[in-house]
Amino acid sequence: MLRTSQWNTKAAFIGLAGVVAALALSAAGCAKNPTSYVDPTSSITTTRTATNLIDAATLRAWMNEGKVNNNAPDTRDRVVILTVTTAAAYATGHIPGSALYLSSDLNASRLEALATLSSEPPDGPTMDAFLQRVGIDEHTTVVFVASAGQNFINPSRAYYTFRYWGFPRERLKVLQSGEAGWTGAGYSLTTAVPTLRASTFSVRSQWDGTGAGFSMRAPIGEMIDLVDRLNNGALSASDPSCPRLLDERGGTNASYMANSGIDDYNQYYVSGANSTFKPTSDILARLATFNVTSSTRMTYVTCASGHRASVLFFVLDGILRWPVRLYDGSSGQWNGYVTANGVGTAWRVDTNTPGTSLARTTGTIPTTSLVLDPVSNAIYTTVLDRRANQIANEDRTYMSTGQTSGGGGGGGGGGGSTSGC
Amino acid sequence: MIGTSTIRTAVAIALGSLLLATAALAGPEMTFGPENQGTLRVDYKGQFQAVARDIGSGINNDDHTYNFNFRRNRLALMGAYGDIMSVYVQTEFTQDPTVTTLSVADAAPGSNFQLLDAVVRFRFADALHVNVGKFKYNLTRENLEACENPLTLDRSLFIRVPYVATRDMGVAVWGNVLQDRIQYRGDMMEGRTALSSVAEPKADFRFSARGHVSLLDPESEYGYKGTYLGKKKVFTLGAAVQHEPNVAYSNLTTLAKPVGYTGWTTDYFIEYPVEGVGTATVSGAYEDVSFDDAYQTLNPDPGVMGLDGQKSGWYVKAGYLLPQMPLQVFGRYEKWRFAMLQNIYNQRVDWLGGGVNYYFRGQDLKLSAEVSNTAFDKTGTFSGLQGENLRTRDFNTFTAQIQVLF
Repeated sequence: MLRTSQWNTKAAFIGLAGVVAALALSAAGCAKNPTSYVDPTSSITTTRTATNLIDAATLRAWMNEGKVNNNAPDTRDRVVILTVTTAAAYATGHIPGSALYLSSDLNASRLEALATLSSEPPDGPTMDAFLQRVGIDEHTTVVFVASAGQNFINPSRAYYTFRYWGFPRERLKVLQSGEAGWTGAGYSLTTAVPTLRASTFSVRSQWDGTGAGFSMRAPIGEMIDLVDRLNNGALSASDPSCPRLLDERGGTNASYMANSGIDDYNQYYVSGANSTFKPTSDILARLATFNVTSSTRMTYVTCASGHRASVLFFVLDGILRWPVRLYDGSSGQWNGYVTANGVGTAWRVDTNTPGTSLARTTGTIPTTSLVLDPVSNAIYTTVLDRRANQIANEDRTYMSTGQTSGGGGGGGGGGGSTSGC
Repeated sequence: MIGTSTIRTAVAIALGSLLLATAALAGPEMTFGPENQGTLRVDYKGQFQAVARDIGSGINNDDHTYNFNFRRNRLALMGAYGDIMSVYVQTEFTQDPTVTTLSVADAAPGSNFQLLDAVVRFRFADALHVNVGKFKYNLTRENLEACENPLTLDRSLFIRVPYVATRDMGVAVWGNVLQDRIQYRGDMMEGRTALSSVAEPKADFRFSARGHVSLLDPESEYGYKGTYLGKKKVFTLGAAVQHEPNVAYSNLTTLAKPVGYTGWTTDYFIEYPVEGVGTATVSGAYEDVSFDDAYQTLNPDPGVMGLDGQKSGWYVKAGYLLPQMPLQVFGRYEKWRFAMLQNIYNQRVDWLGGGVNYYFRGQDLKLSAEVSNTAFDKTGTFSGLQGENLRTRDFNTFTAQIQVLF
């Protein structure tokens, strides 16, 4: 049996050891925390802006600083200006140093779900060829510009295309009022075509292990699932965070995807020869009428071919930095998925949501032709079949492996984001 | 029914037999010279490991990985001639250590044989020693702790410095003063290997300076120990700095902006035995490695990034040796931040491990086991300056190790 004095010695030792250990831990851990290092790629130090909408003075300053088409090998803040328009419009005048981004290059015909669709984003090799031709690399800040007299559709669609292909938000800018804003600020246009240094950059360099940019685009399967969930009550529109669906076509249309907010892309800027995005307060007020707020978990934007809706896509992603997905198939695709075209049962939008008496489409769907891919129509029997998101699958494969075919599973309709509202 | 005393007796007999058996395997020692003033001894030092990690093999490297390897496998030749001069030569043979600090190798590394140490030591006085040859440089206490005497299963995985491993070639001057309370060290070493290649701006030497203060029993040898197994009462505070000028280009494309390497560290070591209670050991260090932020350029020298590149961090380790049986429990926590690790800038790593050492015959025959978790601040698969599709994810590792010295 231990004597009391021995116990006291032990207790004192254990106590002392504890104090020493605590001191030692604190000395090592708290006296100096490991140094935090700068990530030079995560922060663009000299072309950072509060939103992705920049004014002419900012672009002019970058030009004066030598950033536009800067060929210095060690620059991290090179600026490339892309005028998104037609060749004819570009030839009549453009901002000095800007390159032509043909608006016709913003679309590609690609198999999506059950049929080929012409309003899809360009594939990886097409993007790479363009990026390399105009000298864009991972250190480039890209400014999209609308031609004089044109609205924001083209630069917004270009912004969406780059976001889809993984470009970080802060590297992409849209010039307020386009060329009109430039000349309005007292700067001149030119007809001189710049000589650009080609790059070897590939969208593959931006592979993040998941292909996060692909979630900017909503395939039709995800949209049908969204409508069904809103119809069957799985999602409650009264919930402030509930995903919203906005139709940006404007005007009066014969039919709408069920539960759509009937919006108009024209309402986000002052239209005319000098199109100008409205103040943020006006934008917020309009969005609030559709219950789209900062609490909204996701806003799906749609129109006829994914172009007009890209304006609101830019507003939400580039100005407000709220979550948004563009359904680039839009009504041009939606309206073709009807019984008369022989579409598989699960994909028909001229029917009710299963288990409900609520239609997937509001109004009378106009006759729209559709050339089905018979194989896809036969094997994809559910709207959330990941294989039916062929574009995301193919692009993910290209981005991760460099392969231009295949795809298989793994794309996903993103339906999970709409669950549990 | 077998009684407790019977089991104790059986274990005691078994251990006693083992100790006797291993004691008979002591390394050979010989003397030579006209007056037997020369001595030569050969030691074998082996650490054989079984490693299990919960990632690293299979599709996407998501499956468990199991590996046997020689962590250390050495023959050491120790000789002395008279009172002043001695030599220490040590070879290393490793084979297939595929489970590495951050990943599992995608190709068998095979076997490697090298001359690990080759140093001539001159002891002119207790206050003046000179080492010449290849040996451990004088920066961190952790690296200077003997590989066979760590407190935890092994030393820190993250504390190494750039362009050299644990040893370097050069000359060191060191000694003990004030009744061995204070030790000083200085060395001039090769550093980054001198080449005529344009990859290195200038082939300069690397310089180190280190000192420590022993407040209780002195630590007067060139090498430290991670634990003295309760044979000393130690409280030592140390600090060191190391520098090599013009060691790398900030930009390999333009061959511009040569930068130097600077490392510094502070450390402490406490071990305190109390009879009948056991021995407590606590040790920790902070280290900073800098290349003047060369990692921020577009195409920096690869050596300024990664595990041994620009970084800072600390570790603390603690152990408790039981009084009645040669069992020591230990734990280690490390917190590091790397300028770039596996293509991820400003990556933080938290390493936590714990385990036991069982000393059958002191450090001469020891069985260790350790479980550890390596956690990253940022995870994912990234391509970039350090390679294509490098995947970073958290993982757990179990290591069992038998150590034999004779």
